Amino acid sequence: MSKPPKKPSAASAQPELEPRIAKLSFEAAIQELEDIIERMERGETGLEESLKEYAKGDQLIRRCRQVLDSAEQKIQAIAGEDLDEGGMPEGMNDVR
Amino acid sequence: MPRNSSDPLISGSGLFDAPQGNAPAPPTAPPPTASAPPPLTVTEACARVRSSLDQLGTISVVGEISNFSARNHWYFSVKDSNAVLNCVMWERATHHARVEPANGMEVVVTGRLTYYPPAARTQLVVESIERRGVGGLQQRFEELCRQLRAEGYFAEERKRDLPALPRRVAVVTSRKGAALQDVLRTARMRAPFVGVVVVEVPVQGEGSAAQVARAIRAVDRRASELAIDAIIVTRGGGSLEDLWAFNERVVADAVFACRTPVVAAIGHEVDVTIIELVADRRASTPTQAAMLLFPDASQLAEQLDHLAHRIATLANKSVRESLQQLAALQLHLKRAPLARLDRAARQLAELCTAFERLRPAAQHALANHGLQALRAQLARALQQRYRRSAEALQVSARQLQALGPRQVLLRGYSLTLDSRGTPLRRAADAPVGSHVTTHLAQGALSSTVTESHTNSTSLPAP
Repeated sequence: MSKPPKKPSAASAQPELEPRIAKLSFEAAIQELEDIIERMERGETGLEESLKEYAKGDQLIRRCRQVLDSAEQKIQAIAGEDLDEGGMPEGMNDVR
Repeated sequence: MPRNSSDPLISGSGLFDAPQGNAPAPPTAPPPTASAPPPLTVTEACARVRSSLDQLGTISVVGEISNFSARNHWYFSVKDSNAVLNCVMWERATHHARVEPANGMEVVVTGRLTYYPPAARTQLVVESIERRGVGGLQQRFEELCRQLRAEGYFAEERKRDLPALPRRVAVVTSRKGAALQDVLRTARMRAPFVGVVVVEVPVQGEGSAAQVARAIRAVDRRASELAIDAIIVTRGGGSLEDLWAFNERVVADAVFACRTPVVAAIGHEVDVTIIELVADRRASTPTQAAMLLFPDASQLAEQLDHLAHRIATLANKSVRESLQQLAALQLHLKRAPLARLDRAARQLAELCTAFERLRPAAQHALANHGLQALRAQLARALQQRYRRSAEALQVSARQLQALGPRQVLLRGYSLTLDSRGTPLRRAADAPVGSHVTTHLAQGALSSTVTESHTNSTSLPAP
């Protein structure tokens, strides 16, 4: 099993978030969580699948908490005319 | 005494020539010689000055401010080239004033004239003050309002809902203004995880309307590229002229065409600008605008708690059913130690272990976030799930008993055990090189595993 790069503070009992989930936006994570709940509510999932879904749900919940707990706001600025001319806001490098 | 009856400030002030004046004495009576009215006291005379000034009602005077002094109340004069009029504006009235008076400013003051006897002072008690020429702006505002309303710019049905949780919010405003600080403070307090793009524009002065309009169009055009889900256009308080950029048609057009939802908060609550009428939502202050778009993190946390509770309840149900199956299985194993049942038991035991492995992680996560209820439910769930599954398993156990293992083997299935005699369920359980025994309907085969296909899942029917 390949290990993701270690973070010094992540040495807890919690498994790390899957890379895909760790990148989800709050809204996308909530949406997936609601989908899982809906599938489970339909009652068609067996135990094995339920547990898999639950584990995924747990990851999604933790991702959402992570988002809510992030303390620093990303604020970028640009002059209106520069934006119009195709410029990028200062420090805007994480556009998806 | 010369009279200028066209001047409202002078006409009607015929106090000291009362007998010949237009009021209140009989107009043409000659001065009676024998019974001349007794002279007035000064107080009485001044009271008459007062009451005749009262009769003028509310008047508007245009002039230039001088001697302005602001304590709690505003004291100043208005003057033209020939005359000076003292003015006072009581504190209560100054709160509604939209201009900050300054000496030399041309204004229109509206109020009532009074006479203050102790100082022999006639003054205008000002109720409202406006810069001269603002009347023209007011007219333009009303005219544009009429046009835009007729064109459907203000129609409620074209206004869109604001996103519940925007990824980024663009704030179109001046970088230096207090409005931006209010928005940023509110955003930080409520939702630091929502990004902010500050789009700087001049918010007053020549050309500002065109710049604001251009910025709104640019944000809208690049909204998906920059993950911007909503726009705030805001500016702090100011005079009607200061706010004028937001009353221009070019800005109204930009907001009208904008596909990204717009919240506008311009000036103080009493000021209404055209952009606010066209925007999807109007906010009375920059802070309120931010509150509309930056969701409260604590409310989101509540929503999340609710979902966490639901998924835990559902997992409970699943686990409860499996626990029930296991209990029944154990019972049947004692009575009928059939290979198939043993296999099923192992399967369930593995699922249990899987859940046990999961549980500490889940519990850790829950403890971290104080979801005590969820934790308790998980524990309860473990027992309940298994109890319920037992019932389902009981049925299949009975069917299996009726069938018997030999019947199964006769139908062409075989049973493979590893070297310890444990039935094999997955190819991965028998590593290459290990020895296995396969029981057939008649006899058994001993083999060594030479190849393992872990991915093939289903068998063809025999």
